[in-house]
Amino acid sequence: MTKNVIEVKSLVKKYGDFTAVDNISFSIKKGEIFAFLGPNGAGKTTTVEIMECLKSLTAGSVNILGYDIKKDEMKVKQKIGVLPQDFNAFEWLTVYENIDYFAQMYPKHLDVDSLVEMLSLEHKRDVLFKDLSGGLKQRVGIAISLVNDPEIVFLDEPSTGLDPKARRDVWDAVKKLKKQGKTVFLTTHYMDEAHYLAGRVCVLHNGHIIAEGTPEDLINRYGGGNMLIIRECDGHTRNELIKSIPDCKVEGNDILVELEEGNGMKSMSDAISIINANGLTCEELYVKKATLEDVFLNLTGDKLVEGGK
Amino acid sequence: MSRISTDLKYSFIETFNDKTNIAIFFIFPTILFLLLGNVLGGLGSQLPNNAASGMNYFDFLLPGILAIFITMTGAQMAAGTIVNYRKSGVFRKLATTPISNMEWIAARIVMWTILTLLSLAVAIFAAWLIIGIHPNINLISLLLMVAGTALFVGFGILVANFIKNEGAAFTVTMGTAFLLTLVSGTFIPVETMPWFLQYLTKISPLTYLSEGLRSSMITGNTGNAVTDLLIVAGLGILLFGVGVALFDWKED
Repeated sequence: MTKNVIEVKSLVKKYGDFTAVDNISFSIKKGEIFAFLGPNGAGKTTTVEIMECLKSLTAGSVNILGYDIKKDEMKVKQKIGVLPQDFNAFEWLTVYENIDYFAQMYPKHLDVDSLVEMLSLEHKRDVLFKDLSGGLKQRVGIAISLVNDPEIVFLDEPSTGLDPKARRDVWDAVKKLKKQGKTVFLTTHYMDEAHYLAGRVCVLHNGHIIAEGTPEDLINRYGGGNMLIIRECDGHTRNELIKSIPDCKVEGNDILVELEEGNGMKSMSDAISIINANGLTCEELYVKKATLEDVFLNLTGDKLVEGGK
Repeated sequence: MSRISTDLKYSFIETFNDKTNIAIFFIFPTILFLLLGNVLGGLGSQLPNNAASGMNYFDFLLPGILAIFITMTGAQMAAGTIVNYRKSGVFRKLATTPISNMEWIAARIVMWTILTLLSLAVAIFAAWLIIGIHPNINLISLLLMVAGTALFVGFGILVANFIKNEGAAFTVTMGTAFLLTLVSGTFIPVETMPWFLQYLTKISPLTYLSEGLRSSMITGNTGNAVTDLLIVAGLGILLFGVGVALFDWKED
């Protein structure tokens, strides 16, 4: 049985009267990519910053690799790698110099050039940090988070504000960590990022954990099932479909048919038969799969969008 | 390599990778010294009687100019760097590594002191070489400059604990340095000031730095210079201690 490398029990963080993290517990096994998913203000960064020894906890306990973060802060720091939110390094040092600076902070560290190569930064090795694009800065941040060959890597919103290409590059870097057997703790408000990268997801809302499981498991449990979308129907088609499929929903010119679990093919073929038999017209038909966005929406009534609700 | 020596090494590299810093720390002070030396150097008739022979008016003002330069540079470098690193998130990253904030501050105090002294040394050397000033630097004046830099670096750290943006930090450190210059007898004789400003003179650390440098470099009064050195060092320990005690790079 794989051992737990992170154990959080009854964690509470308060700022005055405001409770940012409210009695949450979870554990993470070695080699997992575990994602904290939630909108801004859900308590993700507060929780991860407590685990990174950046913030103190109000109540509860956090155990990292067998060390209590309150008693063994220095030991924890030597064993973890961190990419903080809105990461920045020394603007007027080059990529190599920045990685070397942070490497020298640890008694044992990896070879800097091997990290430069691992993160595909060879062509930017001697470029000043300030002259890098956002995606490259994040890759330097990931390289820096690996300088001490950590067993656990914390990545706090690693792709926020990046363009799609840069996001993909960051995702590739995270996948490489998984291949190396590292445990990765990821916080994100992008459901596609959590779905693509994480083996297990924890959904956070207003400081509480509201769901936990694999992305597929959460989608099956809370996603509300798959939906057949019949797009851009004319008025006659809409009326016919509403009469024939009483449970369907209307959104603008579209008709939405919820596909029953285990019987989705029948619902689809019935809808297509109705369209063919009556000579109805529409732009297209497709099946929209439920996502983590739907999970969040169904659980909280809120949307998981950048910038919060 | 220790964490302190690593920070020391890379803080110098970071400073000199930015070529504008070469202008700020070396070219600008040198030009200032050459200009002032040229303009004021000829005003020999205004020299006080007790000044050493062979000195010109610029030589007489040099201790005050050095004191002001130390005040402004020390405070501004410390406050500016800390506010910038806090705002950009560099401190957040550093706080996740084994380096402590005390180790970081220790490295930076050494760096800021060396940089300030190096900057002054270049300017004084150029002014001595080109226009023949008489700096009369000795061990006491050197120690006063080190203690003075530590004192005003401590002040800069203190300011950075309360002020969160670079513009405001610049205004506060420069504004304070300007006020201290006015009430420290550097350019305006203390006796001509209103009584309440004369009290301010007594509590201004710049007064003791300026007077100490003048005693050691101009009048040769070693006893007074050592007393001023002890006062500057004491105030330095106090201000630096309070600044460091309040300094925390965690954002709890």
